[in-house]
Amino acid sequence: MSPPDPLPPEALYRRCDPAQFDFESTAELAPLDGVIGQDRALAALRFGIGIRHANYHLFALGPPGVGRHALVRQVLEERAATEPVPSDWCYVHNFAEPHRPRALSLPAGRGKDFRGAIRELLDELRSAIPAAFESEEFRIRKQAIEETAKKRQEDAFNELQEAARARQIALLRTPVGMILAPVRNDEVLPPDQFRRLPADEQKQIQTRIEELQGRLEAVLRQIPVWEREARTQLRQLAQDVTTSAVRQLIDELRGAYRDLPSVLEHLDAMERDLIETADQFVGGSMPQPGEGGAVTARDADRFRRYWVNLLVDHGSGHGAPVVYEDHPAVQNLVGRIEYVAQLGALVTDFNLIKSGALHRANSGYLVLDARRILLQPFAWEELKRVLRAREIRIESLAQTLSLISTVTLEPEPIPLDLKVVLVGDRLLYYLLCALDPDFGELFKVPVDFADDVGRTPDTSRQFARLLATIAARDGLRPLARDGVAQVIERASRVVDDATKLSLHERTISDLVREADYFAAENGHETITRADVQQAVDAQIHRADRLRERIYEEIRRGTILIDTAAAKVGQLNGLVVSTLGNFTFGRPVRITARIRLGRGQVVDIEREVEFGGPIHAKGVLILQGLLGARFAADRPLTLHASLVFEQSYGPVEGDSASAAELYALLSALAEVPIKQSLAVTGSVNQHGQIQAIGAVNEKIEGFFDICRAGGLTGEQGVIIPRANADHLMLREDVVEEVSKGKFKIYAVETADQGIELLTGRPAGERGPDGLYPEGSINQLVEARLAGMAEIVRKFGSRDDGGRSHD
Amino acid sequence: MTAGVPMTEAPEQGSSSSFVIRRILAAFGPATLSSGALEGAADLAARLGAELEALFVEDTTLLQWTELPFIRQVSLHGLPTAPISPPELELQLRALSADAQNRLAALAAPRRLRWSFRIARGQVRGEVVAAAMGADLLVLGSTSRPFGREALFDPSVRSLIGPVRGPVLLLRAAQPPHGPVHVVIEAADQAGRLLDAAVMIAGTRAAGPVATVWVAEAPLARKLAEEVARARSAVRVQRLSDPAAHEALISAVAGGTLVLSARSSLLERQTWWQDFARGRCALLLVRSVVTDLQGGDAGARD
Repeated sequence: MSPPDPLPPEALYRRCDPAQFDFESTAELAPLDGVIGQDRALAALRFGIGIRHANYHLFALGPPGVGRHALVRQVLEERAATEPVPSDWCYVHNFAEPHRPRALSLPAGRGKDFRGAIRELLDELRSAIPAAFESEEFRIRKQAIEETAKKRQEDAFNELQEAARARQIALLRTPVGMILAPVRNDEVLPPDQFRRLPADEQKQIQTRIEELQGRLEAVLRQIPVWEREARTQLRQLAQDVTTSAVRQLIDELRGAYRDLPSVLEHLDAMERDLIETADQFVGGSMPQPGEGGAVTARDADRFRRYWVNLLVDHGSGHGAPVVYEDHPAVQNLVGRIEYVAQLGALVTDFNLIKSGALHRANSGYLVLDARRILLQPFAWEELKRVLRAREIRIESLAQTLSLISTVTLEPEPIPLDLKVVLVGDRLLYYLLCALDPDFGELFKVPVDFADDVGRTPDTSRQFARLLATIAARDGLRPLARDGVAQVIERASRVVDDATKLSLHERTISDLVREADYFAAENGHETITRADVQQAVDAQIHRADRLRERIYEEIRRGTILIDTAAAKVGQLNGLVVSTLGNFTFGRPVRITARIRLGRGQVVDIEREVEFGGPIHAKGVLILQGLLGARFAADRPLTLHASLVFEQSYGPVEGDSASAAELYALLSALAEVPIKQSLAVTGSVNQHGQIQAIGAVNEKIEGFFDICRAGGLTGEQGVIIPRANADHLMLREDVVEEVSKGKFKIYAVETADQGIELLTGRPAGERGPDGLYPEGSINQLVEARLAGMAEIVRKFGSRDDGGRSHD
Repeated sequence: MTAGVPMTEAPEQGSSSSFVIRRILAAFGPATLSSGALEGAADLAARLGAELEALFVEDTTLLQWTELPFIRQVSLHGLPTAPISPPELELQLRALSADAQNRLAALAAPRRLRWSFRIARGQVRGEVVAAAMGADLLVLGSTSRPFGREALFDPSVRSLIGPVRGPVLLLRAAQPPHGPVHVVIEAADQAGRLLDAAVMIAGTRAAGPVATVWVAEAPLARKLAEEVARARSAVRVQRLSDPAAHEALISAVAGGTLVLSARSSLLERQTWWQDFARGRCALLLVRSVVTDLQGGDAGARD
């Protein structure tokens, strides 16, 4: 196969002809009402949303910037708008188990009504209950109970006093109690007189005192019982009064919520509690709500438990909710229980339960960024737990981790029915599939976003509408049709493929915005081709400081690159470097040295652990290729070393394997290689040249170096034939090619490449199985045969003095 | 009525009044003068610009009785009944007096009151009567107890009233007198001094009814009505139709002070004391300067 001709200029850049567009500017275009090239993702989205079975959650995978969030949101919102508005959720006090607040579900909008109704009820009770307690009837009945109790005690004590008086005994107060002493003539008998009494009389007095002492103790013991009875009667009275004040008001609420059994149940419990704790209203004025909604401590103590904590309010909602939580910490997902400090302790109640994104998105859709949720401690595990359990159970993380020890709540779980859409990179999706067994069970629907789309007239026109949409959305100038064409060409360059268009909307939007800036600077009404090109150039200029530095070092001879003459075992390979978002190519000198050995091709990059596994694989393929082609029936007895000269960092990829092969062949054949050519491409064991990445950057890198030293017309780049469709070269490169000052060769085989590089035929085996005399392959084979013979001779001489097994 | 008069102001005691109070004695014992009564005494002293002397009597009879081995202290607070020794009782009394002194200091400071506190040991009646000789008014508190109403003026307290020469104000434990003042006049010769006492307690001679006079006998009522109509516009005369209707009287005085002659026939009735115990008023017992001194112990008999 003879070496190919250089590629014509028109093969180096696929232009977008502005004439194909029937508009002058994008102002004439309707906004894009769908997406370009995301049919697979769209179908998956619709399927995932539509299927109502559990665990069919979605993972939208693709590179950032392709519009994953926008499309997901758009589709979700379209779907959600057709679905019913979900229920409101409230937390209320659980009167039976105060640490387990109850969750109440009410139809959308009625949660707020219910909260308002309870507020009004409490306001009413604030006046109704005190009014009831201030009524004449209550006052008289209460006084009667108190009087009865006091009289009971008085009677008992008076009876005791009468008994004491009859026995001539007095009750004397001490600071903390009473003692009994005998009386004579209404005076307490002094102890010395008592001692002078006859023993019998003393004994009698003592007996009387002891008897009365017993009776006094009995009275004192009875007093708490009577007081308890009185308190019970007062409590019952208070309950009766409260019942009359409360029942009518709560009955009105019952009527309003008769269709909601759980609310009725709560109202029953609330009524019971109000009545049972009615004595809290006795003996003090009722607290008034604090100003501006503030709660006084007393008010809080008495009424907080009757409040309604409206956790989720869909009163103003239309359709199912679509929630995007951009900070998916655990508490932002499942809600949290807050605490307030009271007298140095942390306390809480159901009013301090706060909703999370799952509550707000319940019965709808929740969109989360996969990377962010994975970065949040415990959030991923919590999300999976909730999705598996299909209920939202709020647990304090600090409590779970035993970071704090205080009284907390166990709110009643809320049933969960929603779709979660994770948005993340492909790598994350594949890693989760591989490493997390729960993931596949829960996220069954991958929504795979394409990076690019085929470049056709139809997609080009859609692309123009996309640009119109971006311009309108961001308030930019419309794009002139030549501006549109330039952006389309740039979109092909971004994906390094003349037949594709990038779907990386963020990159396109950035370019259009920046082109708009230059259009303004240039005083253009529309964004023109020149504005777009200026924006591209400016992007590159902002990022290419390091590239210029490297080029400068090459020009100054600090980095050794020859672009003229010919050298044995040396040629220009091409590498690319990516710094941030900027990728550029540059030549690198690859050399090969040969000596006798055991058939080993040593990759020095690999030996010093600069070369990555793909690079090492490429070198090993070379070894296989050499052995199979030139030493199929004899030992491969060379030792070859390959190196990227002046390379001091990691090298990865096999795009230099063709270049390394050419260097080896040159070294073996001892035929010099033209340094005016640079090579990129990988080679397989059959000598076929295979496609590589970043072909445009590599060509432009060598072009820039050659142009700096002066283009001779001999210089050029050999690329794989398979990369020919990817060419979207810079305008200046194309121009020099058209002038014959620079050449691009697309080769299919290593033989084509070596012929271009050496100017000699590679040679094909003839019927005699031999390569033509003087061809590269013949020279290589002869050299290897000679080396094998030398080795053989060395081997027989070594074996002469040895015995064999 | 409750605001104390700063000492720099002249007290509202006209030179023509037969009732001038410059020194008040508040007597304490384990059974008397709770904080409410103490506050009432402090208020009154501040208003009158009088000096308040507090006397805490450690009852020797009580101490001696605790020497007897069969004496037990029955707790009012549910603790077990137990023997009590004199040192133990002394400790309790000391704690009680220290507490009373602290309370008095706290009451006196904001009222800028001149006060003193004294502890005496002896027979309660003797010590109080002796101390009352140097005072213009003796203030006694009611006995508080954990059951029923406070035992106002139980025999031990009431026994103090007779021997004391000057007026005696009996205050309730939890209710300093801030309300209306009512006077009961049963004889013409009592009228002037009782009305002076009422005005003193009411704290003003300004227009408007500061005292209601209950008069038992119709002729006397008419006479007094004419007299007070001329001289004392602040006084309203009302006839007590039946002295036995003292229950209505006590009810009318609720929250205030009833001024009685120490010789009042009401004090002779045991039922009066019972009704009085149920009421909510203080009691000021006044003696006519000559008669009562000659008459000696005229009241407070059970």
